[in-house]
Amino acid sequence: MYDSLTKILPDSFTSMIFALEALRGGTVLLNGPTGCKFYHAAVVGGVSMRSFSYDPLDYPSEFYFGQGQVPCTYLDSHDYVFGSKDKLSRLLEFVKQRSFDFVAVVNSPGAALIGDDLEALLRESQPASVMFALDTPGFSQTYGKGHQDALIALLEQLPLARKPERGYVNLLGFTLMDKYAHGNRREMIQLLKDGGVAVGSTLFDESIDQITNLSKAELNIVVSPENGLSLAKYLEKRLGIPYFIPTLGQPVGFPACERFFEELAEQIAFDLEPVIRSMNSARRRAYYFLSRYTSLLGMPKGAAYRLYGNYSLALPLLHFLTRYLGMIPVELVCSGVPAVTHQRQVEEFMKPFPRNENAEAEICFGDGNDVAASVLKKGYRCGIEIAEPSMGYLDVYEKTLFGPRGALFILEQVLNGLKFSR
Amino acid sequence: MEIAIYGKGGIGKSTISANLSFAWATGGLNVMQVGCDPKHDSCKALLGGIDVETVLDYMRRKGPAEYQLEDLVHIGAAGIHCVEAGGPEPGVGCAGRGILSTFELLDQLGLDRSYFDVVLYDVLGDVVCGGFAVPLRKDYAERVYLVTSGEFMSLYAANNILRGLSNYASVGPRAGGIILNARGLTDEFERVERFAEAVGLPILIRIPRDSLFAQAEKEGVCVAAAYPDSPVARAFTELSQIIWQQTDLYPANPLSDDELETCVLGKTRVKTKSLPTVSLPKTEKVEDQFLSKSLLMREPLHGCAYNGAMNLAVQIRDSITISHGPRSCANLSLQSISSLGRRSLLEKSIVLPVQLRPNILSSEMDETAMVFGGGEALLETVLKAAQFEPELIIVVTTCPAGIIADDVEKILDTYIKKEKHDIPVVILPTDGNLNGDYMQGMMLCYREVARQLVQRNNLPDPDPFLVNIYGEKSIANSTSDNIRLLETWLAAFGAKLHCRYLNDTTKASVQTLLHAGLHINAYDDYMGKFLKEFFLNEFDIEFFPVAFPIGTDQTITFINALGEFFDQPQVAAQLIEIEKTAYEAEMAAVRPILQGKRLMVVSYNHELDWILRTALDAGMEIVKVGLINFSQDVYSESPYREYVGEWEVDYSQEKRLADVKRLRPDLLLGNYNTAETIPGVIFDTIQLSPAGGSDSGRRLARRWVQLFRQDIQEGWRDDVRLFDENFAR
Repeated sequence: MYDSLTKILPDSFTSMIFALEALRGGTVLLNGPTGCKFYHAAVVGGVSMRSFSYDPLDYPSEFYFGQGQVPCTYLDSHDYVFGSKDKLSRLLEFVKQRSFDFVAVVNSPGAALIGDDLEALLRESQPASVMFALDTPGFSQTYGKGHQDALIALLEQLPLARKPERGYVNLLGFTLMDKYAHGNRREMIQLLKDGGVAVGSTLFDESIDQITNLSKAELNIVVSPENGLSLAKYLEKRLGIPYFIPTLGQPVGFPACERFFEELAEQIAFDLEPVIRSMNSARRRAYYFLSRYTSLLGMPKGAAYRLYGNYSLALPLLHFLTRYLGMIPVELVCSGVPAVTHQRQVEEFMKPFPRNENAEAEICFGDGNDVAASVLKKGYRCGIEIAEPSMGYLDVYEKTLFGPRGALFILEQVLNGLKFSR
Repeated sequence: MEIAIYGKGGIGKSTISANLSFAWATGGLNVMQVGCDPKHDSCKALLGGIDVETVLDYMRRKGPAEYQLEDLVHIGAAGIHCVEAGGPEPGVGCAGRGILSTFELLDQLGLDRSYFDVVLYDVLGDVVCGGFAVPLRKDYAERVYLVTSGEFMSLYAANNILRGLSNYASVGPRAGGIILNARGLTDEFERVERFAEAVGLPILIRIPRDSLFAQAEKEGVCVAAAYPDSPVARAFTELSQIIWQQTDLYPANPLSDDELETCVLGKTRVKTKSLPTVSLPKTEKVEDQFLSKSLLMREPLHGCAYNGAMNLAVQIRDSITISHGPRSCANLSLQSISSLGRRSLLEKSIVLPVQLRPNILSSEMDETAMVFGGGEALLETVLKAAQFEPELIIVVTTCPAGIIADDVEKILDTYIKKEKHDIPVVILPTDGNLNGDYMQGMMLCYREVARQLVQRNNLPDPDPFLVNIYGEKSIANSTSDNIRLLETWLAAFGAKLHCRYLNDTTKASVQTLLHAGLHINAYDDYMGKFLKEFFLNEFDIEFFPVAFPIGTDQTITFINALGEFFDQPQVAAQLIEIEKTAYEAEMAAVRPILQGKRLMVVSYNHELDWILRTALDAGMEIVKVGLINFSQDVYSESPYREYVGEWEVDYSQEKRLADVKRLRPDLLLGNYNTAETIPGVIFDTIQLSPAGGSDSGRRLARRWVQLFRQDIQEGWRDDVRLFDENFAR
């Protein structure tokens, strides 16, 4: 009955916390109730591999409530009337003892309405050399906006001066909600290194010291415009670093990945040869499996799929799944604020494939909720996760969706998934 | 120079602000005036009497991508740049948030305040809440001036503003002085002088009453522009020069209420303790004060009432639950609801429809809704929900909706009257955590859904073979297994489940709750006791004397009680025989290994009889039980306490290691395994919500045997150093 109920995506409040907690050496203090804390701390502890235990007794401090991250001021109705100053001052004193590299205070939506002067409390306490407050969590604004606002607020505190070095780039747009974000980052750094380019910063899983390397970059690569374009524009304005948006979006699947590096090589000195070798090697391997699979089953050509995700991820997947594998998209639902070029290309791409919510499909691509809901709705037996939150499978072996390894990993899931769905 | 002019509403601060701005502007200074009063008439006299669009109205009308600074700044008399913040209609939204939003937007749009010689903030001073105090922050007004008359309430407001300013004492002295806008009262100057002396501020000027003010207002201009040679115009020129040239600023030294009354009114305040106590009649609402454990014990709130109510409300699967608040709240709830659904599907291939696809809509309150109220957003969402023709709509409110005091009932009344629809609506006014913690929200949901849905009249006689179960934990792993076990037992007696209140159920089964003849509590914990008491008081329902069982003892008692209830003792005996035989066989098998082993338990579960009985039957010695404070339950007694060496409540991390070293247990059980290792001690876990029936204890005993037979010290534990180096922090 309720197939059309809106998918409820995380908003800017969540992404502010995630953006800053995904960095190393700092902490986010949540000025808000515990109800706003538990989920965020659980995700940060799990996805960013910070918490070594679920045992609340390992995190006994007053503000941590049995979790390792995102201490909070546990506001209640009294605090909404009288302000959060007392609790926040105590929390600031507490974290001061723990010598973080940076401390960020983020107001919960409720706390943002009472207007406590967070900056003044930070100035009084001086909990870290780098400290700032995000007074407004951006009520119901996009995930990407909160993510970038938070990182820009951090960058505003850093004394950056441009010192470009040849062969340095930054990668912008990684977030904790990306599937295999750490693996994607590592894969990109390696592929760039193979072509003779070093990464200054990714603004993800890095310390403040590493982040300051971003001023070395001669180019900012906007891996995901939904989560990185505003950052790129900010850095262009502040440090004069130009930016580049890959035409086919994220380097996912063979076509988009090859195009990504070809375009990069047009922008800066980049040796394409090693990447081409890796891609060809992966394509050879893929050909072997596809050839055998097709000879027996005919598929994956003609297999139908649904796809839920950002435009910059959907676009390369459409190219990979449909142009390369011959699969048919029966439903595509995109979110986030995309680059105009990606949105147009996706819309153009989908013209021959009218949306059909009720069409049969063998595979669903999305986050764990999309995949799980699809199982309920259509009885699919295969879902491939391309975003967090996950179904709960523990990815001990680090995986990636990016580059040749990512393309093979997606192909592996598609081929095995189609077997199950038959 | 940036200054703030504060004063009580109607005291004339806008008139003074406009005339001051005019005086500076005609003196050659570049001036901006920002009106920070929902009345939005600060700049009217500078703009020829025209009402310009306020910043907040603009934000409501336009999308963020369309915002232009030029649309918000209007050029008035003498080239003064004018901005009006505006605000919501009285009685809705949050005017203070409106001021915050205005300042944030002006900053975002790159307003360069340093371009102006003078920026003047004209601020309502009746309520010095966080929003209206924004101009006091360090980054804004360097000086603060108080406009007052000799009226007590005006001086009271001025004193309050000083209190607000005193919170920023670390920035340094910023009070500039008092501007006396006379009302012509007897003794007025003396009163203000006494106040000024008491707070240590100078009276910068005394502006007399003058009919020219009203005349200029009619003409839509400020008096300094209309009557430049008048005494009042000259007074403003003088005041503008005083402020411009002022070098000394003063600390904020507000008076206490007693001091203020003594100072201004010349009387001593009468203490309230001398008043007689009163006895008032009370409404029956007092009954509702069944409080969650955290509220009762005045502990920090664990989770929020909103999320507790959401998690239960979605369990009525033919309803749509509307989260009235920002999208983040709905998303957090969605994740907590769907987490178990995803895990159950992956780990057990069990499909939990409600947990996989909860019917939630969010009203997605945005910045505009925070300022002007969330009525429109809620109405749109209810209309959207109604299009799906659900059997029921449930509205749950978040902190922001509660803080800005959205009147949800009134909003929905309007909607229902207008749309003439017959879909029932249940409102759960949790207001985030304003009305308590997660548990309190669950209680509210249990209570209000029953009150509004359960049919009380024209019912058939209760059918004893229809069974309701109350208070299952929707987020517990064991719930789906437990319900299958219960169905198996009930089927043996020819009975079946009617309503799971509230778990994966329908509106119809809740409405016909009283058709069932047997009412079983899922847990005999704090929530279980609440449900038992509530349904007895409100619906005269007697719960089954035994809650759904965990462990052998309880299972035997429970099945026996079912046999008695259904008058089928032989069926009960057969079921018990199966359970007993399996249990005793298991104990006989494990006893040779577990006999004499020393057990210590540290647990959030306060109901541990099932595990203690198993350990005792296996011949183990229980050296200690440490119970940790748990937000959802109080400590309970145990019949096995006398067999336990030490029994301690309010247990903590610090004690655990010392006790293990002192008592040297062979096995330490906890809800979570610890990172610590101690040679000779096996650490293992017990579930927070154990499976029902007698099997959970048996399974544990089997595992302990395995651990004692093969206690292998895991090599990975030595790598903690590597983790700390690379991942921690």
